[in-house]
Amino acid sequence: MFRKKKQRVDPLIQHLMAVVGEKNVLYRREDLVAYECDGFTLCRGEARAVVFPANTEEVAAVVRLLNRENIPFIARGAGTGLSGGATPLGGEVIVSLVKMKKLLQVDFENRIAVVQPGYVNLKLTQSIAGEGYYYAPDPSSQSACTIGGNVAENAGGAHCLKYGVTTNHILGAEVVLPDGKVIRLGEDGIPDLPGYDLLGLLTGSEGTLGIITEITVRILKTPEAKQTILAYFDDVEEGSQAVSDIISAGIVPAALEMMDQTAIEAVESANFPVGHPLDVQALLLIEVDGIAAEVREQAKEIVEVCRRRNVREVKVARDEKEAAAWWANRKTGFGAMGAISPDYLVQDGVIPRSTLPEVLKKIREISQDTGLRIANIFHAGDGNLHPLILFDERKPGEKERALEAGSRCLKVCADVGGSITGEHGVGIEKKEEMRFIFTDEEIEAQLRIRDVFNSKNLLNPDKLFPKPGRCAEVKKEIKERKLAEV
Amino acid sequence: MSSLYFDNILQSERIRKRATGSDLLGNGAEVAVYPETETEVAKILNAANERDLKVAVTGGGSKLGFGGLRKSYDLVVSLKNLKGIVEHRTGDLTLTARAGTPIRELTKKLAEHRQMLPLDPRWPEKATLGGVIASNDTGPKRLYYGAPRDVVIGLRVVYPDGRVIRTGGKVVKNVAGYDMNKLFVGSMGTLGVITEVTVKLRPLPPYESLALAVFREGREEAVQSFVNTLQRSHLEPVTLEYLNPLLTQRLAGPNRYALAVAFEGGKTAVEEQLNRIQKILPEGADLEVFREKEAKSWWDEWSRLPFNETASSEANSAEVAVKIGTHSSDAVAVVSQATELTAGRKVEALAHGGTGHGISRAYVRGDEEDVLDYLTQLRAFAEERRGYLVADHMVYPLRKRFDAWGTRMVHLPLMKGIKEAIDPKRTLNDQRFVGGL
Ligand SMILES: Cc1cc2nc3c(=O)[nH]c(=O)nc-3n(C[C@H](O)[C@H](O)[C@H](O)COP(=O)(O)OP(=O)(O)OC[C@H]3O[C@@H](n4cnc5c(N)ncnc54)[C@H](O)[C@@H]3O)c2cc1C
Repeated sequence: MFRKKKQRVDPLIQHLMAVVGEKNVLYRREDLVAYECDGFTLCRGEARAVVFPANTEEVAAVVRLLNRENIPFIARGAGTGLSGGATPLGGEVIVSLVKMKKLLQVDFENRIAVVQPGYVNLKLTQSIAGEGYYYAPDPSSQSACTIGGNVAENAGGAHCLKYGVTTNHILGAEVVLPDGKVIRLGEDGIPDLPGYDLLGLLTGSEGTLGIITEITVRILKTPEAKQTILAYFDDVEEGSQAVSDIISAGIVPAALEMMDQTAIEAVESANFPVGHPLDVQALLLIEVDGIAAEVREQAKEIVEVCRRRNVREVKVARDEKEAAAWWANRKTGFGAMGAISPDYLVQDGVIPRSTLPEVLKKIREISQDTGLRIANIFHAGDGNLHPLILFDERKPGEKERALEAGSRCLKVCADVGGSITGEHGVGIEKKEEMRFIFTDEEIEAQLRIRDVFNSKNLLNPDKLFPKPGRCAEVKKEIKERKLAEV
Repeated sequence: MSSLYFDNILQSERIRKRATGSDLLGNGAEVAVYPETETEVAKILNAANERDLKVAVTGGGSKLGFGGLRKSYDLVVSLKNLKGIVEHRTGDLTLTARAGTPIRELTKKLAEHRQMLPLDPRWPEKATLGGVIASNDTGPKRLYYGAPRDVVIGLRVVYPDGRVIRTGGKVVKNVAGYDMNKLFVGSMGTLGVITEVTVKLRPLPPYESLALAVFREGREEAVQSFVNTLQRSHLEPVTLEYLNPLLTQRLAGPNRYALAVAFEGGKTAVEEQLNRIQKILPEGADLEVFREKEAKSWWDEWSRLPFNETASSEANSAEVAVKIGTHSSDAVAVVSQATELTAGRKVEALAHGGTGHGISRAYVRGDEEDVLDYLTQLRAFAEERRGYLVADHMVYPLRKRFDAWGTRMVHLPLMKGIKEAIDPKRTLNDQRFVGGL
């Protein structure tokens, strides 16, 4: 791979360099390796080049060039996506937005901030916290992922239960359409501009409708008080009953997270252990926020609810430091799997909260069937389940079994009336699983919308939707391709 | 147009001739059909589409004066009879109901389970769930609870050719495929007929109050500065709605500008916040507090303010309702302007503005020519601030003279592309929406 071969520079590369400057184009094979995949590492492909535009005009010029030459291209943020959205399938030009990373404007009076797409999620909260404000959507990857990537994936996070996911916080965007035209959607925070909600449609479109070059977001006032509660249950069912009881008690917690025993084992073996007992079947991590008086009452009530459900131990964080330690332990939960398994696959199903016990049982069966351990991290409040399938890539057949186990977990979610993805997106990974929840007609309806924006299908092609055709045949083809890719 | 086409789809008692709409409001037809199932809706649309008929869609009929450049269509499909709750998953805080279900019916049912639909549209007795979603109607409480786009998690939609498409799902978090829900929310029925809606619910707050800060003088800067203080405080108001004097008076207060600050939640928190607002009340303002039942009936009264029936039949007089969107920091100025513009014109206006969310509304009545002039001025004022004005209740003849939607809108070529992709024959609500869509 690193053999110096006399490379004749591709004319396209020269054209790209003319737009963004020589230093802002990568094209040597060794430089492209880092862009072979995103956070979904089981599928890789080679890009033709990576370009780093500095502003909207450069993005538009690059896109016009690629559109004219009929070369497929992909927008990329931090590459932390977990479904392969930013992964090339072969030959695409990657338009990386990481150099467009400025905070352009903050307007506290109107509670809006304007950022460039490459601006890192956590930085926004950090730069406005001093004034008593924050940006609500907090994916666990928030110290790395970009707000552009968050919009494309409609990212969620632990604190989205009370405040909503990314789409509920996006008020405007500047977008470069796949033909290079630049448009604005939403008028920088003016609500309900007449017309179809194209901004809402763009959010969560996984980089297939346009490249987002500027974003107006809503910022919120930091709540007056916060309390964090940790509860250990010997029985998963009691734990999930406690979740339902909290909700039925009329409390809307800011966050309501659950981890099962395997997940606890992992987080306690990793970098941020906090001393969770290893023999409990489940823990709940709950946060309530708001007016101090109410928060105290709610915390008390939650403790009571847990006691009624035979909690082994329940405690309220003594101070912010303790709460922060619990959260660090939880937010690094995916990576923690590395401490107990050489490889892991993150899944992302959604279920009606009330079906949790039934679903966990089925996931245990899948684990037994495939002989792979499965840990569960769960945004329990909104029913978003992350089964983490542990495997060892070096053992023949395990990767395939992991993929199969993942797909089966999603089937279970779909069968109880849920969804195949709550925040990580479809990407490459769950294309075929789209059929678990949508009919051919419904998929076709979505493709017609894609065609309105992306008529030549040059922007992020072959993502998100299963290949058309008869279902059985396609499944076989995908399976073969997956096997060939992995 | 003969109603015979539909005889083999619906029983004849569910087909009416000259039944809906008033000629003055437009958006009606000689023939109206009242399907009771989604299958019937699909068959009707399919038949209409094949015959190139133009179809108007209505729910409770509270928005017949909202947009539309056609006086009449070939057929009205009313969703009035397609109603009822399909599924209420109390433990999951989700509800699925048919589009024609009146909002009030839902809120009543949900209250039995101490839950609520977090929307406060106008005329909840008359407005249907589908209609509210399709027209994106919101009230002052969107400040805290959000708008239809934040609440809808799934839809069943009949496409113009009769295909049935589900969008979203039944779970509160879902990113599978495009968020197609968004296309239909607020699309004024121009893309498909919504037959079933799944929404997120919230627990019903156990306690509520309304603090009405009445300003002896409505000096804009003083009001804005109080709003800013409230916004920077840790208070969590459900509304921050600014009322003009006529409106305050109409709601049994003095003839003064006022800020309606609602708190909902646990009793302790609500009372605590009432205490605090008392402490930061500016000079020259008096606080009137309503609790529980009193607050509820205040908002009930509020929801019945708007015009929604045929305008008064007096010659040369007009009744128009408008929605104005601006940055929230311009809402106070919009309400002042909506009030001051009545001076020297034979016009009176009830006006209110969301100082935390940016949607303002005015209900304007008076001499037709003066009303039109007033609207033109108010629209210009909003547009200077990069906002817009939409007339959401106006008789058909006036809609011919004053563009209900204005020219400020989401990217038109893409919107046209979407309309073309879904409804190429322009079967549904033709010319009802912005940009002639
Ligand atoms: C450890 C870990 C934890 C995570 N936790 C969460 C979590 O809690 N919640 C959650 O929702 N996600 C989570 N994720 C997934 C991921 O971080 C999010 O999907 C994130 O939004 C991706 O942002 P990114 O900048 O890395 O985008 P990328 O991965 O670079 O791209 C993601 C997709 O967005 C498109 N895209 C990127 N930028 C743009 C743009 N400017 N315009 C148009 N399209 C664009 C790409 O084409 C691609 O399809 C986690 C990931 C990791 C690795």
